[in-house]
Amino acid sequence: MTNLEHILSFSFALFSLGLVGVLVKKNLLMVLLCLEIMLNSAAFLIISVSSLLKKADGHVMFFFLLVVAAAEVAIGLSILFRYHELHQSLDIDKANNSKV
Amino acid sequence: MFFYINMTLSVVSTGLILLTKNYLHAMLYFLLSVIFMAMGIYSIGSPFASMVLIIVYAGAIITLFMFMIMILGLKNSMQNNKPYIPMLMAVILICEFFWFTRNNTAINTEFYNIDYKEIARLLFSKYAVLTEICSVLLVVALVGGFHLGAKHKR
Repeated sequence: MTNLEHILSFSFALFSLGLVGVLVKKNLLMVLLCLEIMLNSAAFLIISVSSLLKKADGHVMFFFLLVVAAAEVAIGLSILFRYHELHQSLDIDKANNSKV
Repeated sequence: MFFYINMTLSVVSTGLILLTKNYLHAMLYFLLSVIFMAMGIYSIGSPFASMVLIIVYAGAIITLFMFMIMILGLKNSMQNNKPYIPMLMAVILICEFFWFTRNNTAINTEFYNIDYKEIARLLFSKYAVLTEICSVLLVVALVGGFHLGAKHKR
């Protein structure tokens, strides 16, 4: 059976890849996607540890995390839609000035 | 053994998202990553969570992203990499599928660690208030999405 260090290292690798993606990518859609990667890595950690300890509480937390992720994606994509309407592109460097 | 294979491929697929300039390929790499993670979770003993992951993540969230790509009609980078690594991953997925269905490994329920009935019991007894708050959260997201997407008369 797998132990905690391996689970933690996989989750950390995924989280750091998502974090680098949020900081590096220029397209707003890609930034949202890398945010989802980070949430996915946290969900993986929660599920794996709760499966290791044979308790179902972690799975319940996974459900709540999934609800939060879905709601965040819905609102984030609506904001992206407005952004595209305003700037006619999805480049995040267009939002440099606060004057619209 | 399957846990390590699947999770390594999930990390590799996530790393390929950062290296590609085509956002459509990035979505597909993320989809691959979610599928490999679901199989990794399945092999560690929680089948219910893996199915829910595929249904919600691959079935709803990535679909929403694809809808945004379709609605906005963005110009994509025409950098066509040769799809050798995704083809290799697809071949590995097909091999795992045949492995699981041939040896009846998937039906052997002794390695399951989490009972789905326990999750349901906990959701409605110990975490009942949080469940209600989550439903309120979904309604709030719905109203917010409608408000942000509606055309307001100026």
